[in-house]
Amino acid sequence: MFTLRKKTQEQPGGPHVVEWQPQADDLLRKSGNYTLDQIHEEFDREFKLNPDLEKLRVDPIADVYVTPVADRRYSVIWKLKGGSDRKVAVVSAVVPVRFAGEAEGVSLKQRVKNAVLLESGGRLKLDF
Amino acid sequence: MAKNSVHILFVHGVGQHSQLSSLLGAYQALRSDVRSTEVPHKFDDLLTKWELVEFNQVGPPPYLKLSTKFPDEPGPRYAYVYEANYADLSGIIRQNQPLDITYLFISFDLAVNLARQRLNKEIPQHAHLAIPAALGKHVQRLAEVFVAATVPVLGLPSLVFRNYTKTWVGAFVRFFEDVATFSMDPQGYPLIAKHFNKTARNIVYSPRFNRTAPPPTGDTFVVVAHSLGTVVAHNYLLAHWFDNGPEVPAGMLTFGSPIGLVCWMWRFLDFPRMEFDAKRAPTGNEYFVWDAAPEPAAVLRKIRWMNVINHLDPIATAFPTQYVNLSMGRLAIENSLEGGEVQHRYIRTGGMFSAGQAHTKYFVSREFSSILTAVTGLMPEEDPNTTKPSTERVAITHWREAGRHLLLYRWLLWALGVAALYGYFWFLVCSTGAEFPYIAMFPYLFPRLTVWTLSFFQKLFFGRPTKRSGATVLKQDLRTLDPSSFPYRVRLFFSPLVSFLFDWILRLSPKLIIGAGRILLSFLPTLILMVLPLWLSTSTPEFLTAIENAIDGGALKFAMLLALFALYTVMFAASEFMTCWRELLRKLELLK
Repeated sequence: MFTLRKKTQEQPGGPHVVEWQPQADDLLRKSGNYTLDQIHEEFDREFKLNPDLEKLRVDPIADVYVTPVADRRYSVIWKLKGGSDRKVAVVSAVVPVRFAGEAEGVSLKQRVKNAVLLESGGRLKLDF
Repeated sequence: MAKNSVHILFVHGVGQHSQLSSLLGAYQALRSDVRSTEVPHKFDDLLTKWELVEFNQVGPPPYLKLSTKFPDEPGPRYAYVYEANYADLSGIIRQNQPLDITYLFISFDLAVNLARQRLNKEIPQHAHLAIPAALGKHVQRLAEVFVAATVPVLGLPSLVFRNYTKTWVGAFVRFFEDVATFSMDPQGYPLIAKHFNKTARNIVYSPRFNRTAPPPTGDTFVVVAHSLGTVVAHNYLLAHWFDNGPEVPAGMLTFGSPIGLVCWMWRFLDFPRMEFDAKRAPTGNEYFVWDAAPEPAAVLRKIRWMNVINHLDPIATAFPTQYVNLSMGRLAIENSLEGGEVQHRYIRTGGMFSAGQAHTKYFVSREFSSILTAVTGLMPEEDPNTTKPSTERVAITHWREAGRHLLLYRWLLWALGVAALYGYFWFLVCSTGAEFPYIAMFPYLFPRLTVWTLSFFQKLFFGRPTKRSGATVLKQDLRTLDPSSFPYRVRLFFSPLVSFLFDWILRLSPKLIIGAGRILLSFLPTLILMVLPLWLSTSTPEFLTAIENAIDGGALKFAMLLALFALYTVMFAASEFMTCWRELLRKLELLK
């Protein structure tokens, strides 16, 4: 009669995907599930449309980036994987700060790591 | 790395503001979506990196202390949020000496008449004055709207529907009382200025404020002011800028600011040929109570000044950079401002029908809040090299849209006024039983004529010489044949007789007769306009019978007649206001 089908995650714009790591969601959940849904929706849509979205490279070696979301109030920290035809963004953390400008004596990489450490209460250490 | 603190002082505009209302109003607007009726959610917070660490209700002044959760990030380590609340003070000043709003508007109209006609005399020798004279003509029309609005237009609705309109009428009166207190009252102005000065000094000389070094090591002081508060803050800036002390704010954010209007009016009313001169000898007839700030001898500390204008805010002006300090040369001002100018930003919180609330709706705009957080350093500013497309509203779009909406507004109000007028005439025929042609409506179809007629009688009855514009000045400078000054001249002509009658009435019974007589006189123009078509189209016995029928028809019918006519006058006054507003924008070449 009726068949329940799992909703596919296909979005316009190509085969690019976003993987949200559980610790990123746990961190984001501090701001409420509504915030989590809004940021998921925005980042998924933007990345799938254009993997070269607005981003700052956190480290000159590692493929880790930060992208401002939610009117630039939050930053998504993600690692780029995959080839040119199928790019994957693995999100490792979302913090309620925008990494703008330059801080005296602290690299962006360190700032990002510190922010995640502070926001998670020392529970989440980024490994890059 | 975040080290210093930013101290943000919020300054409210006109009207009643309870203690902490500006402070908490601004704070809440930044931390929740005040448009939403739902209980605020964390997602609404614009200050995601800040947490409240202290609420000091004692002060002085009371403050909120915020601390950044991410001290590695650039920007201030702490933020202190204060308010300068002069509303109670201003309210008490006017409570102790209430102003008569009728005389306030008439004296303004009189002053505009004098200034305009003096300017007109100068045009043959100074051709460039033709533009301000043309602007003055529209300001005159606006003044007449206000003169007519006091009793002839708003009097009936505020009397008949006082249970519903008293709050609005109260706010209307308070608005102009506050403006008069700060700009004209030689006692009120210094009281408010000193109060503001003390508030600012309490901030910058408190142990919380690091004055040992300039920002970014030392602390930053930022003033965020609305409406009349921008004039108060501007006045404060001019009083302290030359000292180069910690009192000088590093940033000013003004919104809904009448600075353009006020500075222009100051030059228009108090300076011959509108030439600002800080060293001028006083004429003794100055309208404004302010002293002109002298030209600074030294280079001023650079400040950043941003001004935000909301769509259809009748008070907000994108004032020229010269108005920052009228005593200084253009180059000196440019050197005193970051970016060389006052940076104007345009926002839109509502559509065509938002004119009534546009002045008070800045904080519902998330765009405005973003500007505020950026200027104060609470959030990082937009990187100019960002790839994000700019959503900033540009001036040309803003003013063109305003011009279009004002035009539509004008005709819509006119149509509503005509509908109310038709309803009034129809109801008049029904309730009086009289027959008269609807062609009698014709002279009533022109808002300018309606407003002029109502203001004519107001000026005739109440347009006495004032302390600022004495009888000698009126006789000397007012033209008889100018339609706006004609009633004053008529009154001057009859003043010996009127004075005699007045003295006689005073001897009979001062307060009761004067009070009752004033109310009757105020309503007389409206009543004359109401019955004039009936009177002209019927014989005297028929007219009296018709009036009798109208009164016998009962209170409801009578109230209906009053309501319809009041609606007509309100709509036409508003339509005339929109026309003048649009004309002013057009003359300023903003609608091109």
